[in-house]
Amino acid sequence: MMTIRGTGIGESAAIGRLFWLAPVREGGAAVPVGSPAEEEARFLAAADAAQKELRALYEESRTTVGEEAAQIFAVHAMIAADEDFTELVLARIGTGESAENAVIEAAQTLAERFRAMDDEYLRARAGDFTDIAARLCDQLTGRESVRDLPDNSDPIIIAAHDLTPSQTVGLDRKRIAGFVTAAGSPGSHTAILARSMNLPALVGMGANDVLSVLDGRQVMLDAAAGELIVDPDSIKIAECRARMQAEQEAARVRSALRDLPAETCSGRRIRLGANIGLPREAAEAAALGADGVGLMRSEFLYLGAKQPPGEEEQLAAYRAAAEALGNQPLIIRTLDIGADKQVDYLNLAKEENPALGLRAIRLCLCGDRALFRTQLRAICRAAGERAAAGAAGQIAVMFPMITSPHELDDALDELYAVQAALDREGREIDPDLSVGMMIEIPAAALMAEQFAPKCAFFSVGSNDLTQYTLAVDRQNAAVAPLAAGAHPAVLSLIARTARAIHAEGGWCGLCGELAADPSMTQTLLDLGIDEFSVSPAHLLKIKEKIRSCT
Amino acid sequence: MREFTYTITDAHGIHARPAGLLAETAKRFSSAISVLCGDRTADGKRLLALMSLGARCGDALSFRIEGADEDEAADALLRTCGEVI
Repeated sequence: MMTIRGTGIGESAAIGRLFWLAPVREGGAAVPVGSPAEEEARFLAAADAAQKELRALYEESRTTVGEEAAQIFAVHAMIAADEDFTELVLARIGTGESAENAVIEAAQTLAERFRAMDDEYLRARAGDFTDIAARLCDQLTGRESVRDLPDNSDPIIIAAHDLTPSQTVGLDRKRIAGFVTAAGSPGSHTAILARSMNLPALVGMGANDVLSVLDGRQVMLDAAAGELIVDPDSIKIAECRARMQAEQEAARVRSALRDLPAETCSGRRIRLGANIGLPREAAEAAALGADGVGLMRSEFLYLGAKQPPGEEEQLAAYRAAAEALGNQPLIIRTLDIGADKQVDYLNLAKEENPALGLRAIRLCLCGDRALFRTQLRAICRAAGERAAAGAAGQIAVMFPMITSPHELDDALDELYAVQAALDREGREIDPDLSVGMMIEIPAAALMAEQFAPKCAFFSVGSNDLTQYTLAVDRQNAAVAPLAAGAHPAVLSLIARTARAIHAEGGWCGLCGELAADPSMTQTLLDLGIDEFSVSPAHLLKIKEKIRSCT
Repeated sequence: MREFTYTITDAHGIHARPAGLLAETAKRFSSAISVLCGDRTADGKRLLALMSLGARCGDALSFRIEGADEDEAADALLRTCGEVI
């Protein structure tokens, strides 16, 4: 047995045969192939081809390894076309170097520059230049160098100096049990890939030569301990298998949790919904066993568009989300946008203090209200369609940033006018369409009794409620700690909010970050919160917590 | 000339991907675009230069845009900033 130490990525362990993945290529052509002009043309053609290849790899790998891990290819494509890189290469070609050598030297220069930086992430990018150089050299020489995996079915621990995206993209992922690299850091490609594939890895082992001679040996990778054990004895193997089983068991428990209700020990059934920003996330929430969507942010339809989204476009988005949820509720929050988000077509004036400015319902209720009416029509039509399909009451409307009762009245008048108009046009409407409002401004919480009779539910936006109650800008790192945890003043406003809506027979949700903090779950339940809405990634964690609360 | 300052709110600062998106936006315009962070300056159209700023969450980036399409460029850059950093 031999043990080599490294920086562990993840907590899990794996057993398999070590497979040494040699560097993609070493060195270029030593002698210039043609004149500087010819070398320059060769380089530019190779850079163009490499860019196209990388863009294709990006598109392809988004579906196989996910957006985060795939982005590396998009970045490489941009670096391959970057002026600084190109200028370095062309300058060397100008001194009589071959295109290959010029590319390798330029990449080395940039790698050194990044290696000297303070930021750990940027230092980790040094390896990217080597990979880009290797890809460009492959283009220049037409050489390919991917080693096939051994022809059997053993799980494999991939070992390399520092894995590059090009090296891993062609590998049969089903057979890989883990990764070890001599170089690399927690920000390197290997680490990102391991995390996205949910596999253990060790990076920064500093033992290039050792790893290469271990090719084919049985190894045990323990990410939690930061150890690679070569030729593990039977006790180590048994220990490792037991741990792997326990991990599988934990994963099984979590997935079983998916089908269990969010119910406290005392039998109180809590609604646990998801916060989503895009229609496709509704399917993800449903797959994780969410009780519908507690907050659908409609901003995605408006941001990054050239003109306001039309009624049909919005209808399609709301319909898609609702259908993905089966009969589970979908709460759509009307547009919450202001001067802090740039939307050209709205022509919003610059504001000194956008958090306190013309945003959300305030924006919707000013001017000719065309933006607001279009959105309400789309929501009401989606609700009508769902009612006709047997899912009456599935869709709910929620107004953001309500401060005073006249704003709620105004918004409700608009909503009822839209419903009446749709009815007159002979379209389906949902008679059970429920309406609620966000409680995110202290004034609204303090006057909750006045809003409650007109609402089926409240949803506490704890982020803004905290920011406005404590006068703490949550984007400002210097004061953000002042809003950490839950301030008694905020909790008192939440309690008041819940009491007011309960007195009218309605329910109280919470859709801010507090909902996703397990240390707050019991407190929020005690304050009377009936619905938690969290991002899909937090659903199971909070469900597990709710099931252990009283 | 148009100038604006944007404070980075993304926890990761200007990483490769957002730097690339900023550079791609900047390249759509003919105006000269420079980005200042502390005592360092970068050409807004160059990915590696932007990454080399080493800008982190909470750092203020000052954009200076000069040219025929400076208004459109400033608006587009401010929007990209809001979306990616």
